[in-house]
Amino acid sequence: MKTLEDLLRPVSPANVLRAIALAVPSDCRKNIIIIGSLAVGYHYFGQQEDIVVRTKDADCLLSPGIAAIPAGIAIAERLMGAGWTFKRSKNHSDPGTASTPDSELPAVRLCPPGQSEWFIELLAVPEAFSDQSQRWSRLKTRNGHFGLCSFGFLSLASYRPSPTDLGVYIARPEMMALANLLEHPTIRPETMSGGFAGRADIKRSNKDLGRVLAIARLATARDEDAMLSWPGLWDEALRDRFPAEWMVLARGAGNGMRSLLASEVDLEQAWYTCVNGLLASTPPTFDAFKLVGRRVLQDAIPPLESIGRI
Amino acid sequence: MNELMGKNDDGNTKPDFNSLTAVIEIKQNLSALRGLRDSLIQVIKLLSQYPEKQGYLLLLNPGIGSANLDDEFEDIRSALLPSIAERLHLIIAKEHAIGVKPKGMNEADWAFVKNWIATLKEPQVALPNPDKKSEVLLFILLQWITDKAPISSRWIERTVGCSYRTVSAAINELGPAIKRESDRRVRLKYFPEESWRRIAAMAQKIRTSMYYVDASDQSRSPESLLKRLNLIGRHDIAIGGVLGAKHHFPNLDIVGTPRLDICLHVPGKSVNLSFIHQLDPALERTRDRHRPARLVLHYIRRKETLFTRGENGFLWADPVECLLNLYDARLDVQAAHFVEFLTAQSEKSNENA
Repeated sequence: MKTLEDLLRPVSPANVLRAIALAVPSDCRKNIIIIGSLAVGYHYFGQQEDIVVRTKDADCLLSPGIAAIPAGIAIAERLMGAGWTFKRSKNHSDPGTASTPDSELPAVRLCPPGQSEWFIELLAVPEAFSDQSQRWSRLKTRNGHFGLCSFGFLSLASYRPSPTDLGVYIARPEMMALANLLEHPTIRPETMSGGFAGRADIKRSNKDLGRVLAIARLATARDEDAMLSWPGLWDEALRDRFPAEWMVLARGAGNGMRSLLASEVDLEQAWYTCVNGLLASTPPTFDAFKLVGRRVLQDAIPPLESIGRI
Repeated sequence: MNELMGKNDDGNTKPDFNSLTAVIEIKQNLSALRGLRDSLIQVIKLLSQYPEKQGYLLLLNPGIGSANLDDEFEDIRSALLPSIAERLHLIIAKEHAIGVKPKGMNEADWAFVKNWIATLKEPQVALPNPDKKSEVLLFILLQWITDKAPISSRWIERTVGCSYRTVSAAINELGPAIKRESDRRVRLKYFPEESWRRIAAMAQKIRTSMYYVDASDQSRSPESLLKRLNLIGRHDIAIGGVLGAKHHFPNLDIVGTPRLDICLHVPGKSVNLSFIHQLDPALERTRDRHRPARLVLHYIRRKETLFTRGENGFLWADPVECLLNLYDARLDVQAAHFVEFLTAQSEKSNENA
């Protein structure tokens, strides 16, 4: 039976970022924005190599959109040339070919040489608000054909990312939080493919909305008033990324979180993903986690909703 | 300008809440039937957009009787196509009381509605009758500290909100410490230690204070609570306690701020405490004085607040109130030091007068 650590490996955000930055072509580093739990971990735990987060993928967003395909090709070719290996999955045992349809192309998922703890995955920013569903762009590399996936509100994660000493960028945690809030206006029934930390019942919505609460907790541990600054930045990002839709998006930003907090069953799942993920080193009790949610609904969401009602 | 009309870019109306099974529109304090019709039209449009979902209009504290609302609702529903009418529902919640779950409503949607209402809860707390005689004593003392001029009974009655008899009884209790002017106005001759000791000793019984602890494991500092208090922008809440005392007496010998003491003006008999959770949803009221309070709420029961606004925009409680708060926090040494300062300040201004 697989242990929790087999399922979600403890990795050091600092070490993973360094490995990625050193492996990719230097002129492509500026196009890479690390997103997801590694970005959150790096943001809050900095360069402390002894702090680990449990994850298995290092999601790299390629930005801006126009540079995504050439940068994706260059990065994939450089990594595979340096011994990074294609991560096989149930559906893909090898990279695609010229005859593979776009929608069936494998994602660029590459494991570092000699390691299987984590893998890099390349993603792209959606071109327009209407591109909410998954879209695949073909990457023709010397090592085969891959798909560069874009979906949802990834464009928010590329808003004012933080530079690192390593040359790559990391997404701002509060922007990832907003992307997750907007991605889940309701608790959808789809569960995580492959489960989460040994459980098969975890809904994707609960995991992603739980991430918002994990970010809120980490942010307030560093600065108790951190969330007071979120609505202003969210407002700015929404206007910039979605000039035609920002008001509607702002007004609806809290619906998913309210649904999560209204359901103990869903909230328990969100809590489980956090205490076995980003908050593994300082796990809150369930009640304390719930209070984080109520604080998010106090400090961060209502001001944004109000802005959307002007 | 779709967004101004609450629509998505595809022209569709966006509900306040949208689950897998229901769309919910929420209207608060509806005051006219026309508003009900407008709101129902919103829900009807949503039902056309979402043919598989139920549609609910949730009215919170409408200013119209339930019978009138139900009649109007049924009139409108009877004119609709059955495919819409069967999915259209009205939920009325008054004073945060909500009836039974509408027939066929999904449990999760019902939980959302209840939770929404709970977040809007404005608990009304009944307060005991104020001890107006003590309020008179405190006011006379405050006048002695801040302004040496004698005061009339009428002024005291108006400021405290009490009868002449109460003023008279309080003045009599001050005995030789009171100087009566020829025009019957009064003022203190010196600090009335005996009366003060009585009030300070009885403060916990004759005054009302509430204590709040942090229920999370990431407690907010008094400074953070203060920042939020400022954001709320209430004109009936002032800062007391250590921060207030330091405002009046910057040399008060204390490092840090152990808790935030705030003074809420409540001349009436009940109070709305919803603002507490605006300061922090993790604040939980306790009656256990051994638990370290993060926030203490004191009630100012006299008619006039006597709050002063500082340069930074904050409202400050008067020095006598702050002094009582220090005793409440068991900061007796600091309180004694503050008394010395206030007495010296008063005597100094007496000499100048």
